[in-house]
Amino acid sequence: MKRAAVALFILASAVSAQNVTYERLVHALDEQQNWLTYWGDYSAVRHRDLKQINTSNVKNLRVDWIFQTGQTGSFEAVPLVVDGVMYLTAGNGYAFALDARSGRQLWMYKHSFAPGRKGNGVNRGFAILGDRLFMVTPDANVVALDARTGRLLWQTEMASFNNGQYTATLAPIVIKDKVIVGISGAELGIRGFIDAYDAESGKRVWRFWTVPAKGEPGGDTWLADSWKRGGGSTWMTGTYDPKLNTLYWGVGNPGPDLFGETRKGDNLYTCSLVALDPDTGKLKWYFQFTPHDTHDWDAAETPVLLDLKWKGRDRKLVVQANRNSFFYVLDRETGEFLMGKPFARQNWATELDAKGRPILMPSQEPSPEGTKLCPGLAGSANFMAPSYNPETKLFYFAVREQCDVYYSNPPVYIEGRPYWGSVSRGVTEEPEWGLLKALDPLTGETKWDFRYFHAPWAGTLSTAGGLIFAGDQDGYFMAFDARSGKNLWKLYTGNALVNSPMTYLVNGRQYVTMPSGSAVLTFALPE
Amino acid sequence: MPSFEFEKDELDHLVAYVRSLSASAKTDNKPVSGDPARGRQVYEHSGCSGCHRIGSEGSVFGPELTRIGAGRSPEYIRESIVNPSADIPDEYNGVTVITRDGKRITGVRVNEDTFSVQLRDPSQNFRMFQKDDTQQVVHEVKSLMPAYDRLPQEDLQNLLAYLDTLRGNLNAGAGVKKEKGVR
Repeated sequence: MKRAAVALFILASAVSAQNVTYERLVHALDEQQNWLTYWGDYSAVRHRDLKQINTSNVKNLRVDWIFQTGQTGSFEAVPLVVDGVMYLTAGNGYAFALDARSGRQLWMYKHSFAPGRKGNGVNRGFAILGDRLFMVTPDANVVALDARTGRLLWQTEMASFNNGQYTATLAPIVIKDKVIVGISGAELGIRGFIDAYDAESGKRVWRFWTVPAKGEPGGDTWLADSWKRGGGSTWMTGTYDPKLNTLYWGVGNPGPDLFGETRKGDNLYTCSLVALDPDTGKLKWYFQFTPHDTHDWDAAETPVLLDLKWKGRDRKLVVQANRNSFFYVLDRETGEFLMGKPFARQNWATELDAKGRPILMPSQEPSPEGTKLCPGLAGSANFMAPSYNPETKLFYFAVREQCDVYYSNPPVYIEGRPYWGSVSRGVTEEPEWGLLKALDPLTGETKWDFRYFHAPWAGTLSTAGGLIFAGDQDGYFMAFDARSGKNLWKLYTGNALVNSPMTYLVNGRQYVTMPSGSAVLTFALPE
Repeated sequence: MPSFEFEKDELDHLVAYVRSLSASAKTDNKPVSGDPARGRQVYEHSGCSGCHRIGSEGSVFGPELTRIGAGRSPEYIRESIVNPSADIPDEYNGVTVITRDGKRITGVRVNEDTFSVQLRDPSQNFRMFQKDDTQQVVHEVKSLMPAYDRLPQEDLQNLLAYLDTLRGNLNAGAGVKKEKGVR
């Protein structure tokens, strides 16, 4: 009898323990009840085949539970959900595990900051492998936690903190046995990179420098020694194609930010999409959206992987609504440019040439007297996630319609301080606004859009219930008919939404989660 | 607001830049010519208090004037009287809501978002609308304040002199009374 009880206990433990294998991550879309990566899967389609909440009943959606993180700052983390447990990070080095059905806390982790290091900063979430969770910290560490307890397993510094110069904000991505992360700080004179760490030991396996050194391929795109502080942050999570074994990562702005005189050249691989071998970190190909950027137009927006029929032929594509106002379609096997079309107001490029290089308009550089340019510094798109619905075959994303006046001023490098060559301010004589846009990725044409009063910072989620969930800057969490764009439901959350919604299923009940303020709001239909 | 560390040159440039953004700011303390007592009569007879507040008197529909003399230059105030549409502060943008039954309600926009708009009408009441329930929301290009461009020059100068004397405490009378022994 006693032996049977022990056996039962062991069985129960084995079932309840998180064991997220690499195979499960590869097939994340087969687990519609779960949300196993920051993007929900490796391709970042952010579509779930869940239809319990649908166009006919979404009007009944209500808040089911609220979890207060107690953390200040911008709450940009997208939770993971694994078999009924929600794992999320918050700002300032905090992380939590929750009962995904009730919101009750299971454990909390707080990163220990070394003396003198700042303890504040945004974070965007976890990656998981086996029973280990991985996150980065505001002082540029990667940490591994025991998913069962929140206990720290290992901690590895990505780069010297250097008085706040190097920081980290993104959710890691796990590929095979490696935890792959990026760095922030291109506005403070860093040289950017993408790192891979061994998930078991925390030892660094490889590093890809996003700014090549002199003598390396691409090094001749930097004036003199400007590459040493060339920026190229990698502050958003990449996407991954397991069949091609290729990792896709958007690279941020060059340094000094917003000032090009001291770094003449294209400044590779800033404002580019780089395709890497995740086993070695070797570059397979790159595509630069904005050569020699002087407007902070990072290419950090989500590189979404789609398999579509392109001009009659099945092709593996990567698409991105870029901060520079153009929607791009590339062949993700080769990096070949296939299409680029503006999706928002822009007055910096007349068009893209046959290879996707922008043909610049005159007078688009920042100037001492101020240059008005669209889009503004925050761009027409940004880190907020888009989604793709395979039924409607449409790409849904948030568009910012906001211009800036860019004033140039030669920068001086001081460690830990902004290394910016310009300042920008909003164009005060015209209001900003925003759109939720449904776009055909094969043509770049808009099928419908919904106008927001203010430029948004929240992403989208698509479901088989025929819904697009989205949020606006005024604090409305909303559901739309994916086909018509009709607003079907809204709830005022009381805080600007700066995150992207996700959905999951526990015990047969569908939930939708959207953080607002410092709280996790989870919605469901009445039981 | 966090404190910032700037080199002296940087700080000087920053101050010069910020100043350049505010042409309306008062730059000296020289009294404005004119008779403030007569200017006060102009203020009262012209109905200014129907929209503006000085101390505890008047309406909160328009900008409060209790400290106007300390913060704004005479030139800016003059322009605000004769051509109030020349510079409308964001918090006093006018909006007209046309309801489904054709009623027009105009007021100062207090807030607006994707789905709703809230305004303060001239009677100082909040009026709140869901956009779905309206025909149209019109953003007024002109100021809701009428232009006093036919005011006799002498009256205008006296009014400016009176407004220049207004340097009161915006929070006068709103102090927190501390209990004895509470620190």
